[in-house]
Amino acid sequence: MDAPQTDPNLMTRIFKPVLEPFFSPINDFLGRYYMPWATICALGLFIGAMIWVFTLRKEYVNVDAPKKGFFYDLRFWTIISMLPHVLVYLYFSKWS
Amino acid sequence: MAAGPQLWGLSIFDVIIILAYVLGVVGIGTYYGKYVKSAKDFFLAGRALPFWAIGMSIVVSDIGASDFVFVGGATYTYGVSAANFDWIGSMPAMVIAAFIFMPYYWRAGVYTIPEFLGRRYNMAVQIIHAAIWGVFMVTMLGVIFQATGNFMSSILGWPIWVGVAITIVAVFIYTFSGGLAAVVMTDVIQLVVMFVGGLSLLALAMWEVGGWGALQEQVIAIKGEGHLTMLQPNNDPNTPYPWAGIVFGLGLVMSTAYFSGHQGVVQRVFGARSEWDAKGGMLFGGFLKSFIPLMVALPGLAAIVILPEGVITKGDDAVPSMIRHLMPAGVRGLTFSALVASFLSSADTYLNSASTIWTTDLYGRVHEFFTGRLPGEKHGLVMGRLFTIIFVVVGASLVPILDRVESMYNFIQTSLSMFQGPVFAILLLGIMWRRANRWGGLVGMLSGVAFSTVLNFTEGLFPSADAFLFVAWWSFVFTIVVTVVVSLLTKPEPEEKIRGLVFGQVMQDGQIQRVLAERVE
Repeated sequence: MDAPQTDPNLMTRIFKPVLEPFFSPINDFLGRYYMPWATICALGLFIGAMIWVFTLRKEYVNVDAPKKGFFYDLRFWTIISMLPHVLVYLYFSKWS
Repeated sequence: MAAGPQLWGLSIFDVIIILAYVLGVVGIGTYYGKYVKSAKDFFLAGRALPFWAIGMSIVVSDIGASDFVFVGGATYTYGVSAANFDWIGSMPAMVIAAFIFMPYYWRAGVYTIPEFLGRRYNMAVQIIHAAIWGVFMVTMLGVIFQATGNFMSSILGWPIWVGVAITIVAVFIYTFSGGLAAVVMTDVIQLVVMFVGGLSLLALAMWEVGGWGALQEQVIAIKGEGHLTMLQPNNDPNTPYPWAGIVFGLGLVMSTAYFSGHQGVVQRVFGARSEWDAKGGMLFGGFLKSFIPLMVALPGLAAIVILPEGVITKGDDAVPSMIRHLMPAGVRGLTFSALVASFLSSADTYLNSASTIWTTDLYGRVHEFFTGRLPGEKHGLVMGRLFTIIFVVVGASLVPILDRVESMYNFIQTSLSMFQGPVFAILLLGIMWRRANRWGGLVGMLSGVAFSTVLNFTEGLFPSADAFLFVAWWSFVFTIVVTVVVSLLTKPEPEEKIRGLVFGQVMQDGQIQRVLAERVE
């Protein structure tokens, strides 16, 4: 969205002095960290989600499944869907 | 340019393919009108949708005009980091949505997310949430009409209103007639067309540059290694996608909010024939969505190498220019149809979902206020169709206004970031924490939206000029804190009210599961 038309600096003038002391140290802190932490955090999201699904009860995950068996187990399909992403993020990462 | 007779800059063969496609979609969509006898049929496809149709429909509704044109353009300008929106911004969120949110929605037997929030919190939360989404969806309809008009104008040289009129007529006919079933089944066809067209463009682009290895080398030589790095540094002012914003703002909040709380996405899941199909549809959608960057982002990357300097003046022209430059007659018509498909599917999604929210959560509540009862099935169907007509007119009338917006992509993302974080926070707490109550939900949502508005319009708070990723994250955190504090300071909800609406109960309590199953019946 474009900046407000009436006075683009009004919100900034009012709120920036209040909010900047909170956000500025966080921005500085995050600015110091890049690789490998960025890739580790991204991979953690994918791998964490895969592990989490296996902590759920199998009956809960597969309730109403048309048949019992490996190919109707949604945990299996979760892994199949997620693994390529892990490889992609590893491939497109700078480790230094 | 292809040889032979031309019409609007395309070969006659291309034009025939495009017309056959549009007429075919309208015909098939209209066919489903014969199954619509009630509001449940119109809004939820009679709760008969299989997982594969749900998954395909979610993807094609999500991959709208913005992805083909804007993500391709963003990849051209900023590199592969633009693909984050379809990878880290999809699959983890869709897994969370499938296993936490979808079972509740499906078992609750609701038509909309606000309806669910109304049960969990109260009517005020339902109406405010519905009003926010209702207005956003109608505005988005105008955005899509405007984008379609501009796209057809740039490719075919038509006046904008001609493209807008064609989209409106096509989408209106089958959405009005067949409701969600028509939307989903036309989406299935549109996904197939989109994949064939998109993968054709990818194959031709890769052939032209000499394969992935050659593309990599040339992109690094022209743009540098950063163009092929998925996660960008936080302190680089030249990237709109710093890694912390991508992982925390997009991966944890914006995408989860989108796939768990966007009415246009989850309405297909409400219409699932079983809970397994609801979850499976979401997972299948995530799997299909993984291919989208290949069709959208890689052609944008290849445009850096293929298109001679000066051919395009801005990134958003990359994919349309690649189509003109690479595609032979016939295949160009198919790829053009894929782009038209992305516009039609987005428009039908917003039209159907906006009419569902306005009928169920806003009109329904007003009707209940004056008469003491909710509208019946037939009444709901009539109102749903009436709102469909109204929103087509409103969406079309917004086109001239939206045409003046400088950056449509920023407009959409900023609008979403204003409320997605707060809304997702109360949705998540409502399901995960039984102590969350109506006052916490109400105060949390209102203060969260106010806070995200302040963050959006206060310049210089975050390292990126486009702050929407950080706004989404911090407004989510703020809303969580406020909702928890207010809930703890006020009375808890009675146990019977939240029965079956909190995660642990539904997972572990067989009796509650039976109650929920009966409710669905």
